[in-house]
Amino acid sequence: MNAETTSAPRSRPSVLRRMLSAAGAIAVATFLALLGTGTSYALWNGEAVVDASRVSSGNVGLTINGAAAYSLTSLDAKKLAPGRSQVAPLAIANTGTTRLSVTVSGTEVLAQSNSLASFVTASLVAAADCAVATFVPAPLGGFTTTAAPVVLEPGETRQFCLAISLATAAPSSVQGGSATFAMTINAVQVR
Amino acid sequence: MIRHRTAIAIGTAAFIVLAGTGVGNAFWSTQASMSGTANAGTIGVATAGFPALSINYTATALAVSAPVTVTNSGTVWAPFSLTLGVTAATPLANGSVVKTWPVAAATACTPTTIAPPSATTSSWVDVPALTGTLEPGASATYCVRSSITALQQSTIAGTNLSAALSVTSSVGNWIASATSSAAQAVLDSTSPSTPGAPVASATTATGTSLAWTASTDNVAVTGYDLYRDGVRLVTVAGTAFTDSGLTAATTYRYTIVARDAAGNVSAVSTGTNVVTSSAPVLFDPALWYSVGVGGSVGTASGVCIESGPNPVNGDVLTVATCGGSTKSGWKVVAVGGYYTVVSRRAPTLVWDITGASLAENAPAQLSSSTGATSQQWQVTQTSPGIYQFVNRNSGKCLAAPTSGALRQQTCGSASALPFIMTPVS
Repeated sequence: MNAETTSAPRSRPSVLRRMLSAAGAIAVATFLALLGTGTSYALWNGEAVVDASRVSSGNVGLTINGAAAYSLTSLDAKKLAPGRSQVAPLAIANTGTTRLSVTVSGTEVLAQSNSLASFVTASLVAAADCAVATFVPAPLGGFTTTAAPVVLEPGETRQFCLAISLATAAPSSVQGGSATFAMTINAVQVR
Repeated sequence: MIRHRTAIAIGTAAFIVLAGTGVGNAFWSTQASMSGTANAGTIGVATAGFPALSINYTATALAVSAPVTVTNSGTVWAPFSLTLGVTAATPLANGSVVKTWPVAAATACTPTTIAPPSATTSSWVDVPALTGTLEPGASATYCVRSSITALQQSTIAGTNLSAALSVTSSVGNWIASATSSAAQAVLDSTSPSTPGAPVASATTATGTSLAWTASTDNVAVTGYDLYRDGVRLVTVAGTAFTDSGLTAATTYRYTIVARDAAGNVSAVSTGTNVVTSSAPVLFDPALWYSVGVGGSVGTASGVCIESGPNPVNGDVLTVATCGGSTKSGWKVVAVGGYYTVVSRRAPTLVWDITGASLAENAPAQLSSSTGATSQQWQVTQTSPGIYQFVNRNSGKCLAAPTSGALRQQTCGSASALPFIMTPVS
């Protein structure tokens, strides 16, 4: 009598055990992968269904003297003369929950008269006292930050000084002229 | 086999996770902006008060004080430099004293204000510059005093100066300036000395030459007034004058007064009496003369001055062919240094210029004798027997045109010919 050798059918408990084992492996891998993505987890996970009590999304915010769009009315009070500057103290605040790197990304001359803008320079430096700040003037049109960006911690407010100057060589023809400008401050998240 | 599936599941899960974090790895960013207007100011400067330093110095006005104000009329603060000077260095500019000092207000600068020790002192040719800085709309006021001494009022009398103020304000290439001016003079109040008495010479029946010793003056004598019988006759620059138009055998009294440019006059000089000589006897008053019109000089033309047969007042004087008629008879009578010409036909009528006119070509006529100067003639003998008649009133010569009435013309004109005087029986 030959005994027929047949494969014994797999028992049901064994298959289930293997499936659970695979699922566990996937879960571990997913956990490890998310662990490595750090803060981006929040953004990515913003639409995920997670426990809000433990994981919340961050935010970014930036203000100048308390406003997202600040009007430099103090410049209107005094008039520029060759070699002279008007200085405005600015409090730039990181109102978000993320570290921000702050720079001036661009300046646009919106309107002018007497060709004044060609002889106006701007300088923005971080300084607590504008009276002793060292300015590095550059042409107003297209003015951007050339120095290393300033990093603001979440909730931090830093004092800056903006100097608007008229070149010493400004001709007499620019007398009485004006130049309206808009300066954009850009803040980028840093880790 | 099972192990492979597990590995694939792990890898797939990791891929999905990592793929999902691709967007999340981009940095968050935000912006804020600020806007403003840079305004260029203007530069400007103005001055006031300087013209008030104009003065004519006199013995009783030896100084002048005036507040001079500099104002920043621009919209930016700016330094200024105020300079005072003169356009030319005159004795007055060099000799005067100028003091300047700042005052709080114009009212603090009066003629009686005492200059502080800190006041600058100079003449008009070297006044130190006044400098300062003014906010827009602000002013600085200086008291400026200019003076001379009583002695200078005499020694530099007649001199003057043109004072000039210049104020400049600048910032870089922006420059503003303002100017002003004032005029000062030292009036001459000193009179010239009394000139010498006039001395007469070459006196004739109708004229005399006068000369006198010059006056002196602290500045200069500009002229002499010559008086004849108390009436100013003429003003001359020199010290001599020839008077004419006098009446023969008459006494005239001459005096001289010197004057300068400021109008100061001297005392009246000692007077001098001049007596003109008697008129020369050119014509015999007992004779009647025909008056022939000269052709070329000294050559009779054959026509004579003639009246009508029954002349009356107002008849024009005409010419006719000389014919010995009593119509062409005239008597020349001396009156002072002049003569009247009387008609033989009507002895009450004399030569005259119609209406005592002074005009060229005014006609001559016969008029009733009144003694008027238009009826008097200066008769000059140009050559033996040849005479020229000059009307005393108009100074013009009697002329005989080729036709028409006699008339007066400027002496020397073509028709102003001499006349030939010939006694007639």
